[in-house]
Amino acid sequence: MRALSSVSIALTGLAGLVGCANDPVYIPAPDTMEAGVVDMTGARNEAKASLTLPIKLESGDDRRARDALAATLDPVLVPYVKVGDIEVEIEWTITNLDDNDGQAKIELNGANEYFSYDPSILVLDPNDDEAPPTPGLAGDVPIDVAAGRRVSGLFTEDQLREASIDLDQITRGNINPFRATLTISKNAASFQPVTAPMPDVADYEQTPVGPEVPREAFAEMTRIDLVFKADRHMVLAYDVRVRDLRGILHELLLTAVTEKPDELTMFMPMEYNPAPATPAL
Amino acid sequence: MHRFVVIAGALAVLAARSDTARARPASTGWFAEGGLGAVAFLSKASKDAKLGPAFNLRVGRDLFSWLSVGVTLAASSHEATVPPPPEGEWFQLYRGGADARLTGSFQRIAVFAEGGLGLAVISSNILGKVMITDPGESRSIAFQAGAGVEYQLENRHYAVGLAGDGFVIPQFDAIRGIDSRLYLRYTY
Repeated sequence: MRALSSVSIALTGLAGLVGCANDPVYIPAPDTMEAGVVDMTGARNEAKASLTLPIKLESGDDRRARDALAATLDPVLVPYVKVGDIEVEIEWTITNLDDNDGQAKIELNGANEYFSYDPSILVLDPNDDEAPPTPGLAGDVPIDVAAGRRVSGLFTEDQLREASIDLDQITRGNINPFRATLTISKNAASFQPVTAPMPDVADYEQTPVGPEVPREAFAEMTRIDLVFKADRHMVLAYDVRVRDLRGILHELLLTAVTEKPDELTMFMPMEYNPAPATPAL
Repeated sequence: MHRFVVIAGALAVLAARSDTARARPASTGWFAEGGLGAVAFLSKASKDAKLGPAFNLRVGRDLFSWLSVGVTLAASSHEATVPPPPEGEWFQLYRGGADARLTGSFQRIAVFAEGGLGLAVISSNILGKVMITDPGESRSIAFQAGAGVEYQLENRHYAVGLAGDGFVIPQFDAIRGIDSRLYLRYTY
């Protein structure tokens, strides 16, 4: 009898170990990114890449739970993939192919199921030629890479959570990208949407509009966009590490895109550009 | 003088009767073993995963003094050394199955050979980068065989042992490894 008890305890322990929902999966980028190559105009190229997370179709139970939550938060929209459903990390390696030391930058942007964010198309102050460029969600800091050497790093889960919330604040909340990215929001309980920015209107002040968006309705990033810049010929390889806390990633990961596309949710985010700016004449 | 002869005679009789106590035989029946050790991968996979600490548990029954059957559970943790990225990431390999053990005993020392089959589960797809696992694949059948030596302690219920098993996991690109362990056995 005691032996049977031992077997039961052992099996229970092993089941607990094996069934751990915190085990990560790794999604390798389909291609490497190559930047710093001099083109015909003499400029060095930037590389851009996107990786959409393979999210399964929403189950009936999930849909009903989301509808119930949406009914209580009305008119706030509740996304299918919320902050906290998955924890994402991006691991990267830069290789300097040049004979000289150089610097590289990796800028993180992305999209949730509602909006995509590309700072290169947003001009926040069209009347000021010296205004700083609109910031990305994370990164964009110089990284020294010695000639012929390799440097590895990562965007942590904390950075990705912060970036997801910043993205939601900027796009659904119309919060200024500088304010969103320069304040720490990863533990925020809610954010207050404001009226859309109007870069062409002098002294325009955004005012609160609509109800606050609570944390349970924060949208998680479902598409990773990277911009790779280098002043020498360099290559960036990356992969995305995901801890799927809710079990919404397709088990085939990116292979599902070709083998079982009908089992994936296809999000169609709008590009965020609330007030296309026209340069002052 | 007479008293001395009597005492000496009594001591001689006692000395003659007190031969060395025989060691108690080892218990047989239901048993449990817990072990700690290390798992190392062989050949191609040795480049993609480092040697890692391992934990083993075996529960079974002696059918005869020379044959036992049992179920085994093992877990090991390894740092993946696949081409970066990623770097510094770990994965766990869980193995469980049934086995049989043939034992030959020589007083307190026993040597044995064992073999079995079961299931292996890997905790992540990190070895997918080097094509050891396929997309969506995390389980495989596993075979293992090995040998060891066991020392019976004074208490008939306890023994300690050293064992090494080789294993192969066919669905994980037939990776092979060595599981070595130091264990404590308790027989009920």
